[in-house]
Amino acid sequence: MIDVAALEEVAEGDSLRVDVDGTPVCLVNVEGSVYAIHDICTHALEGLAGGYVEGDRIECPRHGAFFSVVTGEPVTPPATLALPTFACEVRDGRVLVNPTPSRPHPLWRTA
Amino acid sequence: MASAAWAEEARATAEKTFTTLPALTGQEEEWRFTPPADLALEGPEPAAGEGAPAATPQVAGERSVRLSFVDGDAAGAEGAPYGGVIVGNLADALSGHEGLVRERLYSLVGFADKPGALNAARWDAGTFVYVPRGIHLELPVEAVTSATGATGRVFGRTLVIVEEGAKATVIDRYASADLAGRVNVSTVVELFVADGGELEHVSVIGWGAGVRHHAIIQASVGKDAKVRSVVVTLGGDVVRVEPTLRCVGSGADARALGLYFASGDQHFEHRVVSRHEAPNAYSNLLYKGAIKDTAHTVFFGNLVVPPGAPGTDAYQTNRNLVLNEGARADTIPFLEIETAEVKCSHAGAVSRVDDEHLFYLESRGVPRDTAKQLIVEGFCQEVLDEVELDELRGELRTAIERKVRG
Repeated sequence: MIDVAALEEVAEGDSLRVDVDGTPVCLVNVEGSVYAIHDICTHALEGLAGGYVEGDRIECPRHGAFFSVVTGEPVTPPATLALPTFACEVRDGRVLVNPTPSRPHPLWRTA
Repeated sequence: MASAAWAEEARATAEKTFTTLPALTGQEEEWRFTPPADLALEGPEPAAGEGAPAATPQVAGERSVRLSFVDGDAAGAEGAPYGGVIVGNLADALSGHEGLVRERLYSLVGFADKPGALNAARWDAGTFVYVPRGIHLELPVEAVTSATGATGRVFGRTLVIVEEGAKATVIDRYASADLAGRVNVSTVVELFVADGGELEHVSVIGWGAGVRHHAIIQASVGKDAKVRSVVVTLGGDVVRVEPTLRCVGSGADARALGLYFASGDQHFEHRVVSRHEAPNAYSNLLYKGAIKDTAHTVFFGNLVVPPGAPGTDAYQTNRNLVLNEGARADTIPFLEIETAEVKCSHAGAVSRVDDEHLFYLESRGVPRDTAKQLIVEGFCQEVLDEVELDELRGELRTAIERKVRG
């Protein structure tokens, strides 16, 4: 697990982009629980962080695709491909992320 | 690099700019598709690896001069120009032809941004071509830039000056064997074509595995001058090419042709721009590409017409043929028009091989693979037909065939 941010940096209903070993990851705080998904939308490669958070979904700021932050699955078009998610936990006010993705990102090159 | 004081000063400024500019994060609009770290614009300095033999592509056809560069250093020149034409190493021209070079070098591609600054700060050798007024250089000049993997970075720089009414063809070819390690290549091409001049510039990007290439090409097209930029991208893991044609004189005729074929895990991005800085100029951008396996290509095209360019006649087309599921092409044909009284069109399309076309060919006894190959060839033909050099056209056709089959 890698320490990526302080919990207070991600307010409830908000998101934050962090770098995990060179991979852009979006942290989302859903009612006090923090989830980590790949930050780059599978539709047009926009960064998700800063997008509108609704329940456990985040909206891509560019074209409005929603993704589940829990599963990484796209919930609405125009995205059709799922995002990788990352195991994530909060310990002593710090957010820790496991750098191993749940699945490969369909478009993002790794190293 | 030869020690011309002005050039040393420019190099130092560029180095300083590169180290002081804020880091590119990849969240910038123009870096959304190709993260800057993939081209070693950010992140650790690429390490040297084991050297492989330098690629010496077997190229047919007569050339007036052939230059070669290996790992960013000059590695030979054959042929002699005539009629006052100068062809040689750009590093030697810094002091040897200061009058011609100084006012132009860095004036199209400067070092205000990171990629420009990196190249300006580190290039050691490059191609210099000068064609004096009224001279028609019948045979092309060809420069081959190759990488062996012995250095983590390779730089190249080309400066071409075509004076009033002169004519030339310049080919920049990039090639290597498949390399075990990774090499990051940065090249900048500046093309100056004065009033009534004609230039065809061809870039053939045929790297082996392991090479990542950021290529910037800018042309200044004078009054009634003609420039044609041809970019063929076939090889390299990550390749980003940025051709910009600037119509600076009225009646300029600028064409950008592109052909790409990405397969395996390749990622190609082409950002093609024509800028109409004078009235009554014509520009036409045509890029076509085929995408296979899990490759990804991005085309961003832009026709820029600032105020004061009435009578502009500009076209932009990008077409992509996706050969299988999992391959992907993005196309963004853009327009920025601030003058009335212009004709501008833009088009972008992505499609897969038409089942009916395949069915038709198969029903005539053509095996499926051959049928696909025929369709891809037919698709690329529109651009290939525009390539004037016969031997180059033949070579490209073979390369495409190999990619379809491989």
